[in-house]
Amino acid sequence: MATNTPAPRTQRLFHSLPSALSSLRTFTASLGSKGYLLAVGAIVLLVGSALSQHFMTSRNLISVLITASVVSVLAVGQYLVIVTGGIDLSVGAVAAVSSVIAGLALQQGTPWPVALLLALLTAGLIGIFNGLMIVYGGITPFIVTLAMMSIARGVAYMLQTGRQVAIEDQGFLAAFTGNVGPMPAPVMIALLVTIVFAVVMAQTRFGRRLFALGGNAEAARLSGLPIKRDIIGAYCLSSLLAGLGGVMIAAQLTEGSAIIGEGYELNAIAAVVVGGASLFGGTGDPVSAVLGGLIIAVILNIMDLLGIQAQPQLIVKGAVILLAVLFTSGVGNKLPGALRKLLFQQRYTGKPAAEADPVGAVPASDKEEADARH
Amino acid sequence: MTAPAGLDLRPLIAVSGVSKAYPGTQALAGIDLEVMPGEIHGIAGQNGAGKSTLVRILSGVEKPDTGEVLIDGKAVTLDTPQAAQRAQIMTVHQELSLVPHLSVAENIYVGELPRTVLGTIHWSKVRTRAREQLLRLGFDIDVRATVASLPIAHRQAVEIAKALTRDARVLILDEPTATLPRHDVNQLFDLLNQLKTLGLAIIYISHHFDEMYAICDRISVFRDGRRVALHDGDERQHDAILQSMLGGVSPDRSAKLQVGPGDMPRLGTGRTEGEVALSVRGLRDGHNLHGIDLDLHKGEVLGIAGLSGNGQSQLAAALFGAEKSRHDQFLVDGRQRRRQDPAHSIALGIGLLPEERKTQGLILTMSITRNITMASLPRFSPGSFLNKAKEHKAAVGMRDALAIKTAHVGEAVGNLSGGNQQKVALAKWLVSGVSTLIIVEPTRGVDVGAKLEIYELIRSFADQGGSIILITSEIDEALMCDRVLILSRGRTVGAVSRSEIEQRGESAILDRFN
Repeated sequence: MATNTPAPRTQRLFHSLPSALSSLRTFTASLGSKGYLLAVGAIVLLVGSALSQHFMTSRNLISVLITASVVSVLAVGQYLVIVTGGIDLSVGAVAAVSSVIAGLALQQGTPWPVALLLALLTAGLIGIFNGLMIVYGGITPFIVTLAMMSIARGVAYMLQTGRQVAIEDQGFLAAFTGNVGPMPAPVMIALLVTIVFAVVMAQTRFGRRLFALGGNAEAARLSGLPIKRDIIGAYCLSSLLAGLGGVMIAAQLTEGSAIIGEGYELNAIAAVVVGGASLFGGTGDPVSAVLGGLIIAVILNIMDLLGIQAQPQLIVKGAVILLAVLFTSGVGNKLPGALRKLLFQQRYTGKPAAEADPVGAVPASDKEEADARH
Repeated sequence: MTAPAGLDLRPLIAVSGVSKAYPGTQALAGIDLEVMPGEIHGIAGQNGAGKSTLVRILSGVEKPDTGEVLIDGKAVTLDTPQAAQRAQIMTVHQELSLVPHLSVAENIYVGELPRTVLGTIHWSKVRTRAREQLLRLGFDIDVRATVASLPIAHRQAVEIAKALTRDARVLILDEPTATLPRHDVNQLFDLLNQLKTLGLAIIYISHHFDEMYAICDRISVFRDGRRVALHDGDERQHDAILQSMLGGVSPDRSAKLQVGPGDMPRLGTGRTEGEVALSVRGLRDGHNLHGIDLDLHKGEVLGIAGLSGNGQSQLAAALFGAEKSRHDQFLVDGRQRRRQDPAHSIALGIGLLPEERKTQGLILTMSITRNITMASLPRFSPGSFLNKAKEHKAAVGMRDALAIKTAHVGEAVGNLSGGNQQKVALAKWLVSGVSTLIIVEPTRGVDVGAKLEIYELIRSFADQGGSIILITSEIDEALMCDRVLILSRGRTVGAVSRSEIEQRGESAILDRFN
């Protein structure tokens, strides 16, 4: 008889799973979106320390933070654009341009703060250009920044002429790779950026206007808010932070290079989305975006420690993004029902379906009715 | 109009006691409607009377709360668009549901394209059949052309042909002539008369009375979610139809009349002269506005009355600077307006309470507080940092003053009922301290109780010296103003004084329509 028990038990487990999940959701919902992220983060940390004894060492954790710092800075910038209902695909390429410009300036013997300013200025101007094209050119953010992604990358290649621009300026390297107090500089920069923009979004007029813009641009405009200026401002800040990220990578690699930051725009968007912000705008906050990025970084780190290859890591990363969005968007609550529908409904009535059914599946009663009629 | 052909006693489609409520508003309150085979049945009513809700229910997009729909006397369930199709009810929507870049033939047979023995699409058959179907309707259209390349009248014919290939017995036309040039309207009418002889039941919804008299056998008048009257589709019924549509036997009319002291309800204080707050001449936008002249005095409530679709919302947008327009003169407090944008208008002390409060007036995902302070953020954020305590105080003050029903002011505006949302939209302008308000259809989609409160709020704004332009298609609201301008096809075509209103009542305004 003992052989019989496993089957019912798995079945029972299967049945109790949805209710367990839903009570987890209720619990996390009561903590708010950040609470949810912290809970997930804690679980990830626990899993990490259970799977590898190297995980919970300060050396490992600090290295994760350093790796995540650039994406965090980019994610904060990306969030500022996403909260308006836009998107910025050019940030990776802008980081490359910025790294090359900083490198070239340093090679000329420019003092490093001036080189930094030059890099940021270029990045900021690119962002303003993006904003102008969106506001006055009437082109959607996706297209504008997609084009800029290509343009900026091309500019970076043309500026660097050789294979890369080596950086030897010790002051620069110390400023961006040294330690500030107990913490590595990149981590401190990311922390500072996160705090500054968390305050901007929560406590300032500009932040409120960005929320309004993403919540309902027309209502914001009719309330007299300067929505054109704010859109340009958001893209400018996103680019500026991308420029800062580029300089940080340049210091870590001791070179400016046109291949820097490939795919970083997608990592930044993933961080924002895992942080619970809607791509339609008007929701989320910078801290959650950074937490979202950190969770991804820690999961990747755990897989590194376990010796999992890079290819399966990509799959896990994608799955994490999907799961996070399912749960933060509230669709997770409807998921069991939707799945049941999808699996157990008829595929196609055979009857014409001119208007697309918004639900995507026809309720069972319809099928019975249709069958009875035929 | 001739009597419906072959009028047998049983209606082809009957709607019985159908009700539908949305949060904060009763869209339909027990509608009955019967359409005989071979009848064209018109539905008239103001915006918000429940016409669109009924269309959505009959086309399976919405489920009614109560009541039923019967085809040939048998109840049918219309819970999905597919179910409506199976019940042989087809709807031709205001925005046509054709795929613009597919050919005419493909559009007609989309979803049930005839196949060859090999399972591929039998193109020659598709084309011949589509062509035959259109010819039967009297249209000679190249069926290989894309729908996007067709004139609108032909697109409509394609839409109807598509409905007929699915054996439609009930055809619903929702504002079919809204985008149709004049001469094409006659072509559509020929087509409808032909469908009539085939025994279809046709429901025809329109704002244009001349069309309804030309084509409809009978006309049902909707008001506030009820069918308040059923008339013959005859021009001689025009006055009666207007009466039931605008004033008539609406159940909340008596409630409205209790607004204000005295016999006549009033929104205004009677100030119709003195200093001019806003003076506009020759306002036009080249599309919907063709010449608006108005003078708004300080403390005056100036009504702008007209049937829906005469340029109301465009007028509000142009006055507020939200849309581009041209003018011969635009003076605010005697000085030329310099820029056409909302921020400038607000700086000049003008606010807009728009008709579409959910899409234009409010940010539904944001809290009551944040919506209320939206138009006066600088005052709540000296040195750009928000003073949240001050914001909260202002919001609580407004909640109490305007009796906004909510547990706390941090609640998202989207969770409020229509009336309370409107109060929040109004509170935004009260907090901002504007002296002139442009108000469009302030009580649309608002329940009776909240309606009265909103009237009170408008009146107290005027009492304290505020000037108001009230753009409305509700005759009752126009009657409450100090002075009324008549809006017709984008022009102000006359003024009705207070004394005229008091002597002649609603006919003082109604007589000027048309």
